[in-house]
Order: sequence, then C-alpha cells, then structure tokens
Amino acid sequence: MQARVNIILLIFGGLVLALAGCKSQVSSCELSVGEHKTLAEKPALISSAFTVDLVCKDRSGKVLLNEPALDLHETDFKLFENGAPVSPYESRHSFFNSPQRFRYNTLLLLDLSGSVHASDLGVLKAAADSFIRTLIASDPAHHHVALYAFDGRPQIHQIADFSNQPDSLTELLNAIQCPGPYCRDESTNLNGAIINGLGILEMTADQHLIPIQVEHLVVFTDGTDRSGFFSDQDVRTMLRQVPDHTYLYTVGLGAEIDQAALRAIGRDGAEMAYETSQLMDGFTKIAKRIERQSKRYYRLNYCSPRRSGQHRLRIDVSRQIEFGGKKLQASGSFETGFDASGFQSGCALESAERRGEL
Amino acid sequence: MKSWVIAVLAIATSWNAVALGASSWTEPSALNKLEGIFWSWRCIPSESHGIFQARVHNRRSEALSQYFFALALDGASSPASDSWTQVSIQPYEWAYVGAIRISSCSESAFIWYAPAQ
Repeated sequence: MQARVNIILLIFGGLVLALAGCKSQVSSCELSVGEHKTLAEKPALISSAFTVDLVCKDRSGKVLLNEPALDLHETDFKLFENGAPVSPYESRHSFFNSPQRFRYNTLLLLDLSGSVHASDLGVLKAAADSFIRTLIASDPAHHHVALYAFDGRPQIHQIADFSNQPDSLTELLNAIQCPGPYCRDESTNLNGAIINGLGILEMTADQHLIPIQVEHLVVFTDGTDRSGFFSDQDVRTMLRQVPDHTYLYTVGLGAEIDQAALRAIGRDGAEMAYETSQLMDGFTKIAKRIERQSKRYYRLNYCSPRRSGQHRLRIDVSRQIEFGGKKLQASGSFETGFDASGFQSGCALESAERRGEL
Repeated sequence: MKSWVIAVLAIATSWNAVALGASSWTEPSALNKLEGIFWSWRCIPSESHGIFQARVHNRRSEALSQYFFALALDGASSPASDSWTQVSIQPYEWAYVGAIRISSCSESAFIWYAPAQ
C-alpha cells in the first residue's frame, strides 16, 4: 500500500531560511514529539496522534527556533514495541486518517457589541469570510468551523454550527444584521464569551464520535469586557483548565482594546488591527497560524502483531535538516502504553481505509 | 418567559464533588423531571468564588425541539430574561446551557428549562 502523508514543501523552505538567519549560533536541533492520543482497537489496530516541533538551540541552551515540523515523511518514523522494532512483515503502517477519525474544530467568536456593528460590520463579515475560506481550503476534509456572536448579554449566540462547507457558513455570516438577534445589547461580555466559547468547544469534542480532535478558539473584539459577568481572573482560571490540544487566538480592532490582555488570551496567536482596513490581514494571519498548528499533528495507524497483555509503543522521528551548507540531524521520540487484550488477526488497514474507519 | 417555566432542576454542589476534579463534569442524581434529558455540571473555583457551567444531554430517541434553558443563582426567583438559551437537541446529543459566577463552589445553582410554545 502506498502510504499517504502530509507533505508540506513550502514551510520546510521557511524553516531552512529561518535557520539560515541564525546559522552561526545554532548548536543543535531536535524534534520535540508530544503524544496527543493513542487508541488500541480490536482486532489489532493502533492509532496514535502526536505533534512534532523542530526546536533548535545555541550552545548555551537558548531556544532559537521552535516551529511545527511540517514536512515529515513516513520514512522519517520508526516504530518500536517493547523496545524492539515493529516488523514491517508483521504489521503495516498508514499515515492516513479519514474525517471520521480525526477532526479540527474551530469556533470563531465575533464581538457584535455596539461599537462594532456601528461602523465595521461589513468589513468584519468580509474578513471572517476570508478566514473561513482560507482555513477550510487548507484541509477541507478535517477542518470544521462554527460561528458564534456575543454582545453584552450573558450568552453567546450561534450563527452557524460546525461545518466544513464555506458557502453555507458565509451565507449565514452575511445574513447578520445589526441591530438584530445577534446584536441587541451595546455592552461587551468578552470574558463570558470566552468562557462559554471554551465550554462549547469542549462539549463539541466530547459529543462527536471522532476519536481524535483538536480545538481552536478565535476571538474577535474591538473592546474590553464591560458587562462584568466574569472577571479577567475568571478567564485566566478557565485558560488554565484548557487542554493542550485547545489553541487560543485573538484579533483585536481599534483603540479601545487591551492589547496585553488580548495577547495573554491569544496565547497561540494575537493580531491587532488599528483600523478596519487591517482586519482582513489579521484574520488571514490567524487562519495561517491555525493551518500551521494543525499540521504539527501526525496520525499513525498500524496493525500490531501483539495478541495479549500490556505493551509499550515508542515512535522515533528523525530528519536531516540542511542548514547553510551543513547538515544537522534532528530527532526525537515519545513512548506510550497500550493494551493488546483480545487482539487477533484480521486487522487490515487497506479495507479499514476504504470503509472510512481510518 | 417566567410563565412558561414548568420545572426547576436543582443542582446541589458540594466541596466533595469539586474535590473529585474541578474540570470534571458531574451528573447529579437529583430527580430528573424532564424525562430522557440529562444534565451535567461542573464548578471551577476562581479567586473567592466559582464558575459554574452546565450542559444537557438528550437521551431520547427523538429530537428535543424548541426548549429554553438557563442558569440562575440559588435564591433567584428566575433567570434574567436575556439568560435563556433556545436549543433544539438531536437524539443523544448535547447542548451547552451556559456559565454563571457563583459565590463559591459549595453553593447551589439551578438549571431552569421551559418549552418554547
């Protein structure tokens, strides 16, 4: 079977350039591998999702580069069970994951409080439309986007449920009229919106029968919290609860925003637009960041030869990086456990792919 | 809105439950008056108070259409008029109710529901 992997050519070029900029200082590079989730399913299928980042340091240990490793091939990975290589004759590997098994959920939260819809609604719609289309186009099978609005009221309001159909999302987006159902209260419940947005993302992840999911919350606002339902500290408390696979981004507009607060909330990306003409650029940058974050994730499926008991799975990743005429070897690994109780023959990746099970 | 309310679902929180894990969702054993609809809650301590969140799960084989849900503090006569969320929940799916700040996670909060008719 021809294994399928995400091959991103452009970004690797960017990494090489980034490295070239600090070539005199780089001492070593490693691939930092973090487990997201590993599942063991009968008859003998192991599915693992993990992130890989390229981290380069100078001689003092200072991190010079920490970027998603985006261009890894199947040949860069090696599997070990209980320390021994997994025989290619007894198992098969696949880097393919169908939408039924892997999904990115992005919730875009739009501030429609009084200050926004007075002057900027049309520009905001256009920027959000571009965001939706850019993101979904990057991986239409796996990216789903939902749109919610907030104003000064306690609740956030669904504009569009999670979908990977940009036309239907933007149709609902473009139907927004202010004042209207989404914009009735001129105040701004920014803190409550973030808390509720995170709650909805978490519920969505719990609800879908999709084994492996990654969540992104994008918050657009042109102000600060005015409603006072929740404090800034409440938001910080909630952010500490957020799992590693939930990413947060902010887009701020205008002079009323608290840039420091928005950068703290948007810990995975924050863009500040000083005027509406910069909104499109801000949303596009966040879409690109999500695209990059999403492609840190690698999904590996294989049929294990184990038929009983508890075992350790180790995945080694190694890649040669060209840098200023020199070649650096970057490597990393992660280890996890799995239970092979009840495993038996009959695990076939090809047929599982055809059935949409991988 | 208030006249439509047909039941109030009492959610009793306790420090024991919170100690099980602040981010864990808990299904109360209290009487469920809306048959087939289950709800779960959690309370996350924040500063000197708590952030109370709730969601409901439709375990009926048919959709629950056009219901309002809201959260209110213990002692409130009813939720504020703009606190209600109108939801339709497909079979075996969840709906998010919302979040409110309560004085502490040892206090009670209430989920209110009302049919939209």
